[in-house]
Amino acid sequence: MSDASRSPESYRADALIVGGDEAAIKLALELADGGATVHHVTTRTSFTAPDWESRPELIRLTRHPRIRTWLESDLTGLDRTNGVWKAEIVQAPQYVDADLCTACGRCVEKCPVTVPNGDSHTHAVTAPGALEAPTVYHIHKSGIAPCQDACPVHQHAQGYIALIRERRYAEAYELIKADNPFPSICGRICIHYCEQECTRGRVDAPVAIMALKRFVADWAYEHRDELPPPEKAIEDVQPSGKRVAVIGAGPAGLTAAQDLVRKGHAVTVFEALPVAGGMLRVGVPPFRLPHEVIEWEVGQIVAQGVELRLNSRVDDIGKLLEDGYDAIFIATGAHRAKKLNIPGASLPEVWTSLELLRKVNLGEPVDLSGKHVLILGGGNVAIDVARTTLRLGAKSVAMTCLERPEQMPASPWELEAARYEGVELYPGRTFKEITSANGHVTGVRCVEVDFRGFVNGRPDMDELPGTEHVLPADVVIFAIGQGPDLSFLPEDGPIGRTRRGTVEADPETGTTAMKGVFAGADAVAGGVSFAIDAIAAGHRVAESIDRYLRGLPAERPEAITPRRVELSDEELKARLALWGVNPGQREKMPEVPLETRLNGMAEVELGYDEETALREAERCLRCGVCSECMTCVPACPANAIDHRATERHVTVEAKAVIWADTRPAPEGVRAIASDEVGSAHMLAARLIEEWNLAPEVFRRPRPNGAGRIGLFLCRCGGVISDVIDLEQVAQAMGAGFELAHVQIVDFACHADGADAIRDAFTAHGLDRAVLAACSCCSLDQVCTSCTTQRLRCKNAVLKELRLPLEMVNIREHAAFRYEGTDNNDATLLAADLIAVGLARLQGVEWPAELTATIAPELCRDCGDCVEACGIQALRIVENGRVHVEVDSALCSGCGACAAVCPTGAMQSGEVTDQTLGAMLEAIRPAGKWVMFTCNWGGYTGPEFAGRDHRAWPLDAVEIRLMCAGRFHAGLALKAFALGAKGVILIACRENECHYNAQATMRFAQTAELAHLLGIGPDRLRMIQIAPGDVDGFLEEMVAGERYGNDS
Amino acid sequence: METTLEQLLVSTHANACLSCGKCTAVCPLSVQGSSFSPRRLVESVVQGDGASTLGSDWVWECLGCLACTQVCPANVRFTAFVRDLRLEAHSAAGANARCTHSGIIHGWMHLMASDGTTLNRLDWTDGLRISDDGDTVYFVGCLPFYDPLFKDIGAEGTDIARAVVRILNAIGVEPQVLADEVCCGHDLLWSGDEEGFRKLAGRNIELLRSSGAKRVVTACPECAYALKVEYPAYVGDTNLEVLHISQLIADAIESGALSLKSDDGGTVTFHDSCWLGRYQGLYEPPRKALSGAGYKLVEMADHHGEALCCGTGSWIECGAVNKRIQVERLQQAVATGADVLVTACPKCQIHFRCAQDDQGVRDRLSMEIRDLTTLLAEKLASDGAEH
Repeated sequence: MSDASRSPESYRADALIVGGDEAAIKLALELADGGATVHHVTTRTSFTAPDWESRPELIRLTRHPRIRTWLESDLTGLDRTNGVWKAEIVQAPQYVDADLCTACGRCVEKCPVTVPNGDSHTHAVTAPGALEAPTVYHIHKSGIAPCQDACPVHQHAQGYIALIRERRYAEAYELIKADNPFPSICGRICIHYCEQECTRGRVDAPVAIMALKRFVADWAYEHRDELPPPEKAIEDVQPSGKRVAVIGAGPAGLTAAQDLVRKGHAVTVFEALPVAGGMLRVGVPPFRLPHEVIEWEVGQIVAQGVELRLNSRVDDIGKLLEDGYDAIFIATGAHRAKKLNIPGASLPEVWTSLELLRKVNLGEPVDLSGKHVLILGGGNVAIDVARTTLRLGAKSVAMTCLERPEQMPASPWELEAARYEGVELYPGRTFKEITSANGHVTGVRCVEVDFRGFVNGRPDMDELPGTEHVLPADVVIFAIGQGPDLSFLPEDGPIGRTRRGTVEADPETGTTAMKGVFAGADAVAGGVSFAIDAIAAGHRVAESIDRYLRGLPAERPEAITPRRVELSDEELKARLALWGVNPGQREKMPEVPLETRLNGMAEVELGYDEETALREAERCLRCGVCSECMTCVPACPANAIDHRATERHVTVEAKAVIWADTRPAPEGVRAIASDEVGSAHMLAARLIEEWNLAPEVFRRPRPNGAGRIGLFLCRCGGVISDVIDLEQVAQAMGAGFELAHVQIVDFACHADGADAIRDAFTAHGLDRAVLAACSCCSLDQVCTSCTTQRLRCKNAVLKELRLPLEMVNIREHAAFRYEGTDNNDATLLAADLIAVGLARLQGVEWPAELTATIAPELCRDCGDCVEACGIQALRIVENGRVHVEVDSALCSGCGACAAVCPTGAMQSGEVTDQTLGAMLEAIRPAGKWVMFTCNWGGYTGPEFAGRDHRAWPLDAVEIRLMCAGRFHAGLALKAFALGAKGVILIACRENECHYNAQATMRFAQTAELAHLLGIGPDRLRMIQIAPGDVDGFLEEMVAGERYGNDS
Repeated sequence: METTLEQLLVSTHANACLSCGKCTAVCPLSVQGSSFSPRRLVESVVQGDGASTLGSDWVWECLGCLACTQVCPANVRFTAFVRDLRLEAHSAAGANARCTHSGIIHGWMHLMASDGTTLNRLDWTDGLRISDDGDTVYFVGCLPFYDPLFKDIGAEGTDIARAVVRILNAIGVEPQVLADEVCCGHDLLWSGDEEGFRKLAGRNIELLRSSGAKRVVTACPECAYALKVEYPAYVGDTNLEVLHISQLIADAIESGALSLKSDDGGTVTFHDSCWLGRYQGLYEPPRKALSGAGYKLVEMADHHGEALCCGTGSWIECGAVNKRIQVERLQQAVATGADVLVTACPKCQIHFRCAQDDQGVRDRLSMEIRDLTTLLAEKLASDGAEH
């Protein structure tokens, strides 16, 4: 950009144009061509040309060095002071960085979200249309799905459900694990806030998200030997040298431990109990949460280098600091169960919930055979206790609580399960005394109450007179709440306690009054919260500790909350129609039958089988469209995708604001009708004159001097360098040519790569260079077919430095061709191809234009080129005599004119017939099929063949043409003369391109000539294919292969 | 390299150049304002500037029309000098001419020169009397290839071939046409590619020698020259008598073997092709043939030995200057008031039609252009079916 002197989010321009229609585009171009800097604001996602003729304008718009277009943007403020306009602009989140996206399409291949579209479907990320500009993929994300928003750790539920639908379970597991180290646990006992918020609940019933998570976790457990080892997560972690002590191996402590080892800190977890897992391990009965899944998930954390010390109660925090720990996390939970202070509460048969559950979970014998058990409490723990005692042989199990059934804090499904198993419920009672005889419990004396809830922690209720009675029992178990056991904290120590008996700490950051000591989860919150809350707390505190260890302030930068999707009733209706959803029921969780389930502690719920899981996953309504499954992120070789992107706010100061939008203009703003192209032209001319600007012609001068030649070799992130020995190539070229600089870059097509090349030009005083990289770059010209991104590198050198850069394609031509067969051949061939490029740089004068050029001495003014040009970039000028001229502003360099020129006067920029001839020779076509691929239809072939690392469907070599219209019989005959087995022209389909007629005509002529030369249709084919139609392409090629073999 | 060039100066008599400039004065390129000058080209090599000369465009620009050689007082064989310079530039310096027509024509020449190419070129012979062992071989040349390539300008291709056979049939000759005949190679030789020429010539010589025929006739003056002069000089003799079709027609009319309808055919003018006229001295046979068929012949301003070249040759180096030559020649033709411009070289016709196809000159240069053979075939007694 030309306004580089400004800070990134504040710009100064000559003109600010609002609107995305014809007049706005015209005006922007006219102004920029005239020398003005233009900022252009439009709510559009992209521009779509009405026809092929108009597309070059859009390419120019999106690529013009003096135009900055803000897509998906709008004005939020506009005012004028001292004659200068100041506009506040907000741009919607750009999940795909337009400067980085190379439109390779790998993201689409990964996207599990399908969106019905007629008979076919699209994905949550879509390719730009053929007539669209800029050529950038677009992620359709209306916001964060309610399930994800509701989850304390923001599990991408919609994402893993989408992956389940595609049977991509390993990826689903990886996605879950990214935010939650305990999928198996949460898949069983999570409170699943997500399901409460699930949009599907508005239709029939929420999607069984927890059950689906469990399905994935169970799949992973079964396939645990095939999954990447947990150690892989810390492979590239640099040790920080800091040590952290975590007190308590519960979900919060272990989550934090994992986060911290992944940040490079050494973590020791101290656990008082002989087992890890905290309340999950000792407070949840095994028939709900089997021990082996806890052990498996804890084991994965330990495998990442967390030191776990069991039976290690910590009683002195200060000592830990003295021992050299840099930070401490108190995650001791809430393991002190409460009893009511009523008569009889200390009798031996009066227990607490945790006493019972811990004994059972630690394998201590508990015999309740023949006993009548009464549980006091109405929460989930009470239910766990009730169901556990049923399995310990109790003759009867009953629960009693203050609340009426609908007021009970227990989850309705838990209560239902307990009652189903035979637990009796006596709700709406308060307990006066535990009765006894001979020192043994006989029951609980209760009074019925009208309970209205808790006020300030105390029950608000009235006892109902005359309702006193005794519920008989042999054993009474309190399950009325838990609190932290803070006996390890000295009462007068530096770390404070709250009145509620919890550790005093910031609930967000976990910081305590003592430097370096943090606390979180139940130890801070008080009563028992849910596992997922503890995991969330573990993440939060881990981040605080990491910030502390790195010397950052405890306060995190304010997180920007992404927008949550709330489908309106209309949208919901439309969504149901789009996916053809019929209301139904969610899939039932299969369970062990009642007859057998009480015989032991075996797990009751069995989990979905695959078919059930797939049916249930299908119920998801894809609220956000993009599910944030994240699989596109690693698939993108350009790192162009950022799902965390947020709105962008910029200010632009401009001399003039011009409103070319369909909406009415704000007062005082100059406006032109959005379709009035004529007035745009006049206005631009007037402004240019008013501002006294001079157009700057973008033209590359010829380099001076004998030439300091550079060579840049692109690794393509390994795709090239894994096959071709680039070091060897560099050496060979250095020996054969006089090179001023040789450099290997990772990705030449990235902004980084382009910068590196440009900088090397300056640093080493280069005046020309060869870039050996990938596909279309071998044809170094401006092209409507080429994505603007692939030209970035060229722009950096060509536009900014205005020096020649010769592109050589060693990826498709050498790396892909020999991949998996012979790396040495690939290396030799790459060297040959590069040598052609270097020779050309050394010996050939550099043409001044990227667009079509005319050699005037060869031009006979016959006008054939004018007729061939589909975009009227050529015209016959009569200045006394007929004369053909190129309008370089319009010319797209396609080369259709060059293909018809009878004398060779017309050439498409640097891609002369001689260049193409030299390329043909260099790729060694003997015995091969030579494919002349157009950048649209033919684009499909090499891109996809390479991407999937599929072998070429034919023994083929490729010459990429800008456009099939560039093809002519001379190329085909040359290929045959060089011994080609056959020639294939790959073009767009009829009616999809205005050059199709040109290509078809030229192919027909080729076929007639070939016939005379004894070359039949078995060796000469034309394939017309839709851009991006990989399957079609492969089918055609395989058909051709068969055809070829028959001959 | 200098040695080769020195030998070249001797063999073409170029070292005798007097630097008088008569050549440049008559060179159509120079006349039309090109910087090309035969005198300067010879001079630069004579003065020892051979290496840079070999890399220059001059080597490739000469039309080979022979106008200069005719006027040279020192008897410098300038076109031979250029031809050999091209061979040297190509073999020693790797230089190449800029091909016209996207290199398609050179493409088929190279394909025909490569081993294993089989041809499929006799689709046009239906209804004609062809023999397998006749005394006469009709050497068709590249005519079948011109049909697809020059369809848009309406150039006569296999129309000429059919006319030739019909005329031969009318004379009582059933010619052999050879299925495996390849391009004569003349244009490769004049594009500097001696190796390609040798391959093509070799194939044709073998074919012709084994045909059992006594003579070979062709409608293309360049094919005739190649077979008659260049083959023996470079590769070997075909051992056959080589005739241009116009010679055969003129003789047949004179001997009465060919009777053409001699009704008034209107006024025509004849363009002397360089390779028929100046190179082979065949000025009169086509004229006799035209008169014999009842045409009134009017001459253009330049004719016979002074005839203006059609402007380009060997399918290389054609551009603005070449077009000006063609326009000049067409203007001469139009100025005669004749109805038809007759050529006896298919390539001359292509070049003139190409120039005519330009919307800027189309109106003032509008004139029918025909090959001698197709025009005369209309006068055959049995005419009717063919046209």
